[in-house]
Amino acid sequence: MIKIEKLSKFYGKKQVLNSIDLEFKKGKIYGIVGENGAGKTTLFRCISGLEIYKGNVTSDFKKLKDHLGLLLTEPFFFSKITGKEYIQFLANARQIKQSNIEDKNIFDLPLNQYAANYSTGMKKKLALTAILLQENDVFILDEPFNGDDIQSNLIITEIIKRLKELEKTVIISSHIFSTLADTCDEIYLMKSGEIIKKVEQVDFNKLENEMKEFTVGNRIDKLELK
Amino acid sequence: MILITFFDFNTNLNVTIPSAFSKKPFEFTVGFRKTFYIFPIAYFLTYISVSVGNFNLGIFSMLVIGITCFSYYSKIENEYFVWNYNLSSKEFLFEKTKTCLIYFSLLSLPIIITLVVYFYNEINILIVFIFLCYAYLTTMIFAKYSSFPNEMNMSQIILIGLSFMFPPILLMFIPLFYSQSIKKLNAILND
Repeated sequence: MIKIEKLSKFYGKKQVLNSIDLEFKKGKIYGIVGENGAGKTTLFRCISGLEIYKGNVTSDFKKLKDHLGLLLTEPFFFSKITGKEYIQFLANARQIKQSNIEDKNIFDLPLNQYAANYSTGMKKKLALTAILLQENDVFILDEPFNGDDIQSNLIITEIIKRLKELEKTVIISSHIFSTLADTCDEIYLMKSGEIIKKVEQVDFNKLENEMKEFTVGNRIDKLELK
Repeated sequence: MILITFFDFNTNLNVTIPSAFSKKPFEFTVGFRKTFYIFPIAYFLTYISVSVGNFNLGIFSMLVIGITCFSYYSKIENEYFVWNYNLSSKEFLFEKTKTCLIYFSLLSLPIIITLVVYFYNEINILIVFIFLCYAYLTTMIFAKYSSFPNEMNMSQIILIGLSFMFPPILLMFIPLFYSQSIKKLNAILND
């Protein structure tokens, strides 16, 4: 279990996270939704220990980060590292022995080519494959469906469901509400650095309609499309 | 020698160049692919040094390898790649330094063996230069992480420059950069 208590984050004088309290249990999938700049990525970076913050993040693990697979919104790659070497590098960093990486290439990526030359979607899939092969217990996936084709989206959705069966904790942010509705047990709505709503599975449709109403409203009418 | 460190040895070839270093941290994998052509040149210089009986040229060829390896640590990596390690800060630095020194030794081995065979009388000088290369490589790694996740600042670059002029000062800089690195890495590795 991961427990977040009174987590706040400031960049200079600007507060980007405001006293967040959350609990993530084993074998559950959590979604975090919110508009751009709501603080989702900063929250993920704080949980991972990549940012200094006020408050507490505790877990069942001695060091949460050593059991955490973090998929960044825009994964970074070195200029002359192949996809296979990237996977090997992340596995080695966690002292995990990985063999037959080609057999585990479920997204059919060109693993012998330099990863920096991959498309956005391919980079995301490579980074996801690498953290899955790290044998983590907790996964934070920041926009895992961004830039992916529909087939890959289906595979990623199934991977997330499989992780739940394996009793892993998964935290996902996505702009594509349907993918969250398909996989999550609970969804948290973030706005201006605060969690403003927790929604259980039975109310997902209601949340989607509320979000649609809030986001779209009568904006399109302003175009006066003819 | 300082001028050489400012020279850009990198190639931008887009073909996947085979690397013998792909199983360990990225610096040598990336670095080797960018500067692979330097090594045959250095080995050729060693051959010439033996042909003309010039030991200093042989030492220079080893220094070329050392400076090339030194340049592999000039760029700071994204903090995500450090964060991924489940090692303590000390273990992390030890791993990085060990890998660097082993790979430098492997790359310079043909030169070292040649110089030992053909210039046996100068072996003491050769050993001094090998250890100087080890010391500079270690300094570079520690200096790199002493400002992590930021790039090295001007004062660190000046200190390294100074050490090229007066190598014994490394005995002061190595522990200084080491303690600063540990402090910076603790924040990322949650140590």
